[in-house]
Amino acid sequence: MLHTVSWMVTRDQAIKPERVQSGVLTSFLVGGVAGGAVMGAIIAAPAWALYSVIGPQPTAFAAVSAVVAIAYAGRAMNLWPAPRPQFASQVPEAWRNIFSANVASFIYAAALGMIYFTRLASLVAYPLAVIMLGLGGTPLAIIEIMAVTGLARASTAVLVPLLRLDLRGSEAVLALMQRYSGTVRHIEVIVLGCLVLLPFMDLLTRL
Amino acid sequence: VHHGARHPQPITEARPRGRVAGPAIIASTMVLALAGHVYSQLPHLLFVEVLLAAVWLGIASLFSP
Repeated sequence: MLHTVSWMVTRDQAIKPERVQSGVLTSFLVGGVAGGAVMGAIIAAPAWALYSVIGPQPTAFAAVSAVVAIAYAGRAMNLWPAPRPQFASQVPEAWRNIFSANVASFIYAAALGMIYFTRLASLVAYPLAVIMLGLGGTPLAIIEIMAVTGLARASTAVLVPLLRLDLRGSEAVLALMQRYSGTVRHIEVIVLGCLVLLPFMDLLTRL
Repeated sequence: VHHGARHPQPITEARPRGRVAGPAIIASTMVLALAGHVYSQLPHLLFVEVLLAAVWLGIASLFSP
């Protein structure tokens, strides 16, 4: 992802680098929120239908989510395999040449915000999907939570100018990814562990 | 030697990077999260866990190829 952002930031350097950067980054952030909100709306539709049929079942969804989290925590720790279904689609690279840097950034970030229609980098996506499906009684909450995810995903683009990755080339991006891969794996397990605790937290809050 | 009044620096000069973006991102995230919390009516602890998962799902993509 950082490769693409770096490319878009540096593409029109001849015009005015700072202006291009801020335009690209702003479009990126707005696109991320928009894409996340659309993804939330897509999840909210079946969630609401499910809610209409079975009614509010927060404990059941928390329990299913915990089971899914256990399955993927095991995979993250290399204890057992687990399927990783995903739509590994990406925005066509040619779009970056067709549209202006700002429009291309918005489209790219909006596509990134559509979390479940992209390549999934985190196993947390699966238990989180179960939780979202359980919030069918409050569809707007699903949209808002997924908009946060879209914004968080798009915000990582800000690292490009902050770490000056646009000036340091693709090797710097690769080095950054490799340097923190172990930490990422640990955080992944911790977040999945938190989701395993969800039903217990649910019970605690009911006492 | 020119003794004229000094012209102020043009305000169009680029601000230090991240000074605007960081707070704007945090503020937007908090507004969206707060709205999600109020509307979802989930207990605080549960919502914090869900939010943690949602934010991590976004950040983890940084390390995707």
